[in-house]
Amino acid sequence: MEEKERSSLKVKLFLLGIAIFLVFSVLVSRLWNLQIAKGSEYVAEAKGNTFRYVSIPAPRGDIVDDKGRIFVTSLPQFAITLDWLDLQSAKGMDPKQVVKTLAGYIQHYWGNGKESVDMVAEDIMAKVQMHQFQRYEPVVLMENIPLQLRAVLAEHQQELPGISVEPRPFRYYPMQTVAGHILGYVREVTSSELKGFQDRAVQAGLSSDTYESGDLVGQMGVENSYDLYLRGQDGVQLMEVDNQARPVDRLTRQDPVVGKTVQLTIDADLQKTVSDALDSVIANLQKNEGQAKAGEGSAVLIDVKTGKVLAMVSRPAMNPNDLTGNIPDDVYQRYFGSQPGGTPGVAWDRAFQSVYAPGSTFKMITAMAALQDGKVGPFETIYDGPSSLSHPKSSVGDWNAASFGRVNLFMGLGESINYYFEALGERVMAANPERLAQVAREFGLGRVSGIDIPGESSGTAPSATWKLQLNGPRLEKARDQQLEQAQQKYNDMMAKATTASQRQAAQNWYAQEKAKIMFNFNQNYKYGAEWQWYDTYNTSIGQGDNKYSALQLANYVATIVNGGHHMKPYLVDKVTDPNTGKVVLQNNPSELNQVDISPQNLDYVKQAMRQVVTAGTGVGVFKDIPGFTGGAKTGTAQLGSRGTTGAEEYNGVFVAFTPYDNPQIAFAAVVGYGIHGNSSGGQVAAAAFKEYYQEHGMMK
Amino acid sequence: MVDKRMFRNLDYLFIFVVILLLGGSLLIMSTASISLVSTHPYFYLKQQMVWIASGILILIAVTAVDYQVFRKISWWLYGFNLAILVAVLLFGNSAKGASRWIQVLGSFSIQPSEFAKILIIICFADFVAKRKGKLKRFRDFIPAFIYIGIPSVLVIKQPDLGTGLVFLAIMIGIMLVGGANPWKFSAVFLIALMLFAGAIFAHTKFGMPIPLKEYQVNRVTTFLQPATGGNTDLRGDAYQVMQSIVAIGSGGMWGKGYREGTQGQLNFLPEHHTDFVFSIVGEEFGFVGSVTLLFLFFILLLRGVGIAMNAQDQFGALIVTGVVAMLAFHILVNVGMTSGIMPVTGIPLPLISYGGSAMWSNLLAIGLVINVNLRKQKLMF
Repeated sequence: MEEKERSSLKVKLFLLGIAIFLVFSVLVSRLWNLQIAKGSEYVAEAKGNTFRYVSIPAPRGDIVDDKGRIFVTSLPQFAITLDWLDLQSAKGMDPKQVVKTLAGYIQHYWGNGKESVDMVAEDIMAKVQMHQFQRYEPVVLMENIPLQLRAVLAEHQQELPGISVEPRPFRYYPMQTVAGHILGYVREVTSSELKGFQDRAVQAGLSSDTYESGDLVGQMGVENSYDLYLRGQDGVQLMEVDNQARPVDRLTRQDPVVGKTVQLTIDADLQKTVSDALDSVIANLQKNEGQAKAGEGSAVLIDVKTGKVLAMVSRPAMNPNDLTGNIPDDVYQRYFGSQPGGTPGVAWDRAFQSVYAPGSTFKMITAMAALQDGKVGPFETIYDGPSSLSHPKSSVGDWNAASFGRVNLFMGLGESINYYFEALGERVMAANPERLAQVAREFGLGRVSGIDIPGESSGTAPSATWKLQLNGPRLEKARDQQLEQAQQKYNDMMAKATTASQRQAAQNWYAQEKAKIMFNFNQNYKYGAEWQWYDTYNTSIGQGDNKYSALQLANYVATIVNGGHHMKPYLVDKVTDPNTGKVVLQNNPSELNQVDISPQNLDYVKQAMRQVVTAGTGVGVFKDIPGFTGGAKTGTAQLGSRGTTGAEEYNGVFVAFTPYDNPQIAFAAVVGYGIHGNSSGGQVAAAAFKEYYQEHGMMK
Repeated sequence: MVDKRMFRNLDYLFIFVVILLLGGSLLIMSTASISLVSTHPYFYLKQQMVWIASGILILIAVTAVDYQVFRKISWWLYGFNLAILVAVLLFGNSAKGASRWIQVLGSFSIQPSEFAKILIIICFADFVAKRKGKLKRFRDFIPAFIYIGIPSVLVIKQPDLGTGLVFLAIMIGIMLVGGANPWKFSAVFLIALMLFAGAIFAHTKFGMPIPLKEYQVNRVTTFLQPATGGNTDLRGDAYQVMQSIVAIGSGGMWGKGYREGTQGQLNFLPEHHTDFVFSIVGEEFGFVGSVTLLFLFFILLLRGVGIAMNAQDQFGALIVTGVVAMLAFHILVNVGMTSGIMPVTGIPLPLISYGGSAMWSNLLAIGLVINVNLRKQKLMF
């Protein structure tokens, strides 16, 4: 480097040195200011941390029905909280002993009231442990405490340092069991769930700190899927406290922000009508029809043009109020445990998580596939009897032993004639063994709809490929294992064999064994993995492996009558800010697909569904609704196959729509052990439609 | 590569200060991290020892190679730098909402943006050295802004605003020492600062969309409206800063004593072994302790400036300038943040804070300075 250049560099670097000096001067003077000039002030503040940082929980947003009626709200209630730091710094008190004293006072109110004091103390310690990373925030031990307990704790305040009773917003579901499954419930987030919620926040463009351990989060239903909107933003208060943690000054405060209001598409009146009707149908089954196992059921009412769910009910009933606070073991078992008989707990939503054989309500799919493929004309007649089928002996006969003679589509669907639909199924599936499943899926059967609450089941639309994939590989693997075992045994025999005749015997055994395995395999494969004519018969009439949810069935009917637009069902209409009324989120109807069935063929099927209520199996179901127009289909799904007890037990399935011209709503219900579709689900549909007619002034 | 006679060039005071600072780091770690994992009180201390030991090996390795080599491969280094920053965006692990980490060999993660700073220093020093005497007009600055702008956008997208600002500090240091017209260059920055402030204002007041995450905006606004002045966000950064100020302030002249600090030991103070480690120094060792630490840093930086003055060539001088600017900026922002006069940006205290990537990259930077120092004048044979 030249001298001139270097000296210019040195000047600049000297200036850099001066800049550094200035930086350090600023820092040192700041430290002087903090540590020397104001040092004593901060010493006082740090003593026992005189700043106390208190979180003010934000009330969670309300969930309301389509007319703004409250389904869920947050009420102020009192909660017991524990501040571990205060407890630890209390002079002359053993924290564990304090917890035990507290346990003694609250034992009677804790869970089912049967736990010993030691167990309650252990429960409390476990809660504190879960919050060890936020020791500067109080831990909520018990919510919604009764007045008596508040009085007891106030009296014994001296023995309980760090324990306080604070007002907290508390989730309350005023309609009790009416929409329990849709709403879900709220509980403290567990450490395993935390990550999932944080990921959601990040996906929504928020900081992952939005969720922290100890937060209350929605655990199912709308409470879960719209949690980010419903949760408010906790407020914070900075308090100055003395060394006994008594507040002496409130320094500054950030008010909590109330969560957003979520407005459902559900109509509370319809929801209640459907709930009550389903309850009374189930009660009647248990009491008067001798169906001791009855108790399960579901019903869905959907707006056919938009996919808005107007009512969705699952039984046994769920009351989210049961799941606030500390849940006793028996309640937990009833809601989440497996029940006697292997059915899931109450919290399982039968309307869209359970899938059932649809029975005869599936027949519209068979009809549409046959019409669309040109395998049958609407007015073409087929003889109602086994002779119409290629395997007459194995078909499923009709409910009516006498034959109706030759029947067309309208008579066939109206009287739900199995032979007619088995014949149609045979014609369709002979050409394409995927076809029925294909059409079913176009209408949303056997696939998830994407409804805006979690846990949906897809169900099954059976077809040749489906059956092969389900059982083929399993059977082949079993065959290979058996062959390998036989080979091994043969090798052993040969090794042990000493004489020629023994060797001959081994060879003979091996050949026989192989032949036996292959014979069994071929038999099993043929019937277990390959599509058979009886599979076609079963599938055509909605038995066999068909499994769909009530939500799927309702949406399927909606798709038939709205001109073939398969809409995505949804439960939340919009989210609004309760303070400003501004709409934060608006869900709009969205079409999943347009079905590949001509409008003409859809109309034939719609007409046939009308015949069900005017002259078929559903006559009289809607007799209490003057001016009723529409259509329906009954279904009686066998629970087991022929020869088992299940064959004598039936789920009642019922689907319907109304009015006939320009249809507005579609309905589906599945009632466990409901015997017949129209005496179980049909009654629920009648109640729902009547309410709808009254609401809309359609009664004549 | 290393001639024995080179050691005569060595600035031993510089090296001595580095050793004192590393020792200080372990001393501070032995009190700052002790309450973090109750079952393993010395976990972080032991880890930090591992980072320092391995970092020193890196330092020795980097001093052995003549820094002139970097000159020849500076565009390769620049490309490599962009590649790893893009890799973080694509495959990075998310810690606290930012994808600053990249997974290497199973469970071991490194933070590429730490090393990006060093690569930027080397590449940009070369970039400016080549344009010696040609940085007088406004339009001469444009290539430099593009050169630094690309990696800055990549780190800010991670999102890591802090490292983006470090890039800027390195750029300012190297440009000014490298001969950019100081008045014109400062004018550019003044205008940029005003535009930025305007954008933040428009965003918070009228909701104008800007390419920053909400928490980054909050940090700036939190800083402009500190906790004691009626701030509304008491949950996040402001709380942390408030606790930190109380910790430092309550240390007084002599401090509360080793492991006697209540703020840190009771975990009132989050991140007190990483970004907020200086609060522990302030609380437990008082004004005397914290000023001593700052004094060590001051000597380190002044010796750095001295080494730059005597560098063999412009390139070497600018590398050292870049390192000095980077360290000075880190110290200013970190100590400023813990004492409440700078926004919270997640910038650690060099050579002191806990963390493997930061320790390695800082020792790498120190290694570069020693490298330039060793080869300060042409050896006469």
